Amino acid sequence: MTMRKRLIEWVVLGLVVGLSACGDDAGSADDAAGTGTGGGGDDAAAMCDPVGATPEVGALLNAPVAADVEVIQKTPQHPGAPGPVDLP
Amino acid sequence: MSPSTIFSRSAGSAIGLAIAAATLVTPQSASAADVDCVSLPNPVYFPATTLLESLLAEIAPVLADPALGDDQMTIIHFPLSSCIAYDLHREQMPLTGTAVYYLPDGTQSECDMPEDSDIRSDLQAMDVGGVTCLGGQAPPAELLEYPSHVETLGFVVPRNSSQTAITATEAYYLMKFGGEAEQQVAPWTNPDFILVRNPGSSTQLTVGANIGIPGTMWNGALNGHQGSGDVRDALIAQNATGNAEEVIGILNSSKWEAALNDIKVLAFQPFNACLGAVFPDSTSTSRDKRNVRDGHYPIWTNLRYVVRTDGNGAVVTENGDAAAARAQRFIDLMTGADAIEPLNVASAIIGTGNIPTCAMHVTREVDGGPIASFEHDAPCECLFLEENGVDSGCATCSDDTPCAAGTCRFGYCEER
Repeated sequence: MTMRKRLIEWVVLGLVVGLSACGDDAGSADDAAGTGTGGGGDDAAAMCDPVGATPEVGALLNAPVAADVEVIQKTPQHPGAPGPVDLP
Repeated sequence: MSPSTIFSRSAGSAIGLAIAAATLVTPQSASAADVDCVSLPNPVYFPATTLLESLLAEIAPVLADPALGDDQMTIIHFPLSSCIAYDLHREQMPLTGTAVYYLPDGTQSECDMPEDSDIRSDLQAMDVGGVTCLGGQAPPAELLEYPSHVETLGFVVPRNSSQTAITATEAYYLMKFGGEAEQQVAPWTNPDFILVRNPGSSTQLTVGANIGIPGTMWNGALNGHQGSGDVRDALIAQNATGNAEEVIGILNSSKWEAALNDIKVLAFQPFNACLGAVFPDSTSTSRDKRNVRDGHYPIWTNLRYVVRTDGNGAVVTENGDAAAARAQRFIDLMTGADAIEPLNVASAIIGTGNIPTCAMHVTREVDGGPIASFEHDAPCECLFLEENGVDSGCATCSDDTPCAAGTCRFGYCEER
């Protein structure tokens, strides 16, 4: 029972951390719209992996930036799923 | 034969070395120089990455000044791709062709090596580690690498392009498939307009390490170039052709920052990054390298100076003890181990678009490898920002006006 409860806690925590690290717009319709041959609803979500293969790198890459930092949300133009895994 | 196809991955192969020797002749060598390199005072024979050209233009004239006395030296630069320069030094091949040097007044000039030259390199510089050039093999024990400042690299487009960003996955498709049908990334679909370097280039190797496809495996249809200056010139030329929107290249910050009227760097979204794409600087127009220095922008590398050493760790060169002493002195000055009054290396590094390690908050052990948090023992954050025209908020200080808190360094009160 305790293990099950802990598992649920980890899942909930993971969802919360993932969503907060990815920002409010990461999974929005605008981001997922795509144009041309690329884009797609799964692209933006899959690219937003706050951990990756190396947790410390993920933490540095996804650390909050100051308000004056310019961040561009680009609709991917490549075919297929985003990397880094399962690239052709 | 295009530069991108002439250098095999086996960097130490006979083919690679033969080609390296052939390409030692710089692009300017079509017209022979009137000066013999061996006639220059206190020469330092220095095959090195083309990414170092901007910094050498600041440093070499100061060192050429006879007023320096025993420290006077003539830096004779053979501008090459990093791994080609590394092979020349590692194999101690005779240096031939035309090289670049500077007069004390800052004038860039050229000199010719003797046709039957038996002169070898005294030291070498590159933007990747020897292990990268050797395809993962350990470098020879006698080669000692001195890590130095950080070079920022990135994707660039002509100023007349409307593009502002690229993702790591998009870059992967560009470099692997080179515009192949069904694998295209708009608007960069024509391989003739995708301007890259060659498999021995530290720029290409470093960019490749951050986009999931090694720089040695990029598509042969891409438009390869021997030096970073060649990429810059080709990219700028496209501003006037009507093709600017289709053009993209890879370059180092010292080159694009010297051509901001004609070139702009793209924001880059790394793999696993959730925030979006960011520029090396905090914005497209700032010059603070904030995202490089704090770990948000990963396409960067450390310059390394490479010397040969004896069993006791002392620098050696085939050109004699005096040449070895000059090589060691040059490295000491460039890495901050020692300093002389007229030479402000930190300012020169900053002024040419690079980052001294004292301004970095992240580091990495392996080329293109994981980034880790880092704090320098003697930080120079204030100097770095002020030299880039950014208000650091730091108090100024001097011997007569010490800091109320922190440490006075380079004229500013650093936190530590």
